Amino acid sequence: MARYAVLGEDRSDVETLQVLIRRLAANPRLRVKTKGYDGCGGLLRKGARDLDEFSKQGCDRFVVAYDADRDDPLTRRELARTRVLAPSIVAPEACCIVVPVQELEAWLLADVSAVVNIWPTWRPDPIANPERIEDPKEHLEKLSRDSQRRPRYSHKLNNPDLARHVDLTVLERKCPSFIALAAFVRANP
Amino acid sequence: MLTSAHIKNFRSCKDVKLDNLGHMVALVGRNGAGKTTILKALEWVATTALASDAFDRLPEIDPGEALAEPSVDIEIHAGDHAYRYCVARTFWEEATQGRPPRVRDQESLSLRSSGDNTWQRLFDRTDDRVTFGDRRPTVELNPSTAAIPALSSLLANSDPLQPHIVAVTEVLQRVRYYPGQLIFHPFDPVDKEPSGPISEIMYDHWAAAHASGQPSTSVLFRVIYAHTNRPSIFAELKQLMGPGGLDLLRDIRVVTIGDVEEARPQPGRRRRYYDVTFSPTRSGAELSLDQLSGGTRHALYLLLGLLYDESSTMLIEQPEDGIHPGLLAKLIDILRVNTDPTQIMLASHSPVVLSSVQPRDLILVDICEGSTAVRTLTASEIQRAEDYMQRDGSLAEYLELLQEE
Repeated sequence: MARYAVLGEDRSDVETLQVLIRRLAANPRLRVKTKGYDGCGGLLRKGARDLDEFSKQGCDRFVVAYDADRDDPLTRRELARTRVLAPSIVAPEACCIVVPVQELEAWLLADVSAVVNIWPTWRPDPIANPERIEDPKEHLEKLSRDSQRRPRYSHKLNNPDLARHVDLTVLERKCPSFIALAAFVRANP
Repeated sequence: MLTSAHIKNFRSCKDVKLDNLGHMVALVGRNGAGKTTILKALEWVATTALASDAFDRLPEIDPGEALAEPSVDIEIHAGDHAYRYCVARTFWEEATQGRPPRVRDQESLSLRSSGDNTWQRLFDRTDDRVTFGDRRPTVELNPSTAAIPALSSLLANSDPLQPHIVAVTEVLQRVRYYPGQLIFHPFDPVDKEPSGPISEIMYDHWAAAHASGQPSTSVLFRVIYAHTNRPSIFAELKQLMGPGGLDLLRDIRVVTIGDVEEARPQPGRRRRYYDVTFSPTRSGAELSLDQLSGGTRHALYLLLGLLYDESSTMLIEQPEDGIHPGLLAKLIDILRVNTDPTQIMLASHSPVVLSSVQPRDLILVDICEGSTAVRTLTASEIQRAEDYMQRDGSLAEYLELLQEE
């Protein structure tokens, strides 16, 4: 059984990825260590060092998540490869670099109906192209506002919970940026 | 100094062993893991060992928990000797209608001299009977009284057991717990911080309780006492809080307001008063204690603990509360350089605090299925931590990577 380590821009991203990886592997007990930074700067500066440490701790499969943030996803992927993966001791084939478009929250918007599992009275309309939304996090917050205009959603609190409920086949269909992660985990359960 | 502790059935500490404790110990772990419980267990054993009414109460354990049969076993080093003191409560009869459960309290004290591998039992106590390792006659005590203070009173100064009793007492009576916020015991009028100038009567009342050995958490009373009776400590406190130290207070003043005629309770009677004021570094004001920021009060409180209390072991909860990270690093360094003779054991979440300690000083605290578990870093983890920090990482970041998934 693989032992995963996930690096991402912040804690809520890596906790969300932890949930998704376990669901993709169909193994709720899959060992997935996580490290979130205070933004992409921390990921790029410290990611290689932390990949090395996780490798020394026995992890053998790695995921590095770096949001596209309206940049070219290929440019972001290359940046993650050169700054995080290449300087580390981790073999390229053992690592999956994922670049959510534009942010990881787009994956949650792909099956926005999942929110009803947390907020039963909130029933938003489906979103056809979540990767075309420029600021998915803000979009989710806006959608979540109740009748008193107070947002129900907080990404730091709610993302991992939402990830437990989103339909993964819908996610794969609507978010091409998710496919690489799905394929990697299914090949390395 | 405490060198080891074995805590059983004390809240979440079902069976927790702390070994090879050094002069600086940092407990790290998530909220609810049991860091506070460990500190409170150590405070409990130190105060219970010396309290004349120790076994009438278990201040930190409710009757339900008492049924779990708590025990704490500590090893203390004092001079050339090591001592093991254990206190345990076992229950031997269930509660019946109108009567609480009956418990049996046990204590023991053992000695090991330098160069010796064996423990020599000094005394054992079960309920009201104390037996001795040197086969002297059994002594009967009041069941609510701890053995150490009772024997200290009963034994002659020339008794060979007395120096050991004195040595253990000196260490234990200076084990002090410092909570993360200034918390005053609501039922202890002696230690409640007064507002306004402090009357001579109030001060004398506090000083009398203090002279009898009752520890104090009061900042104001201790500042007055230091100003009046321990000028070197008062000067050092001002220096550490001042521009050459933490740069929080440019002055601390204790002014005696003499010969003031009272309106109450006895009109015409004249009293003296003490007025304590604090001058923040970046302000021209003179403020009372309650007007200071929480962080400044907390720093004062901890420095008084270090300088005034002369604790053998300071059990410090979250020293970072209310304190700016830059200042915190300096405060921790003040504590660190004063380890030996003072032992510092602190519980913290702060990356700044963790960056100020060595990997070998850490105890990782976690909770699993309701039970606290502790461990230290392995030799290879310590080496990797040091390599990690060489690569521009911090100890706090390294510990985060060690957390279980």
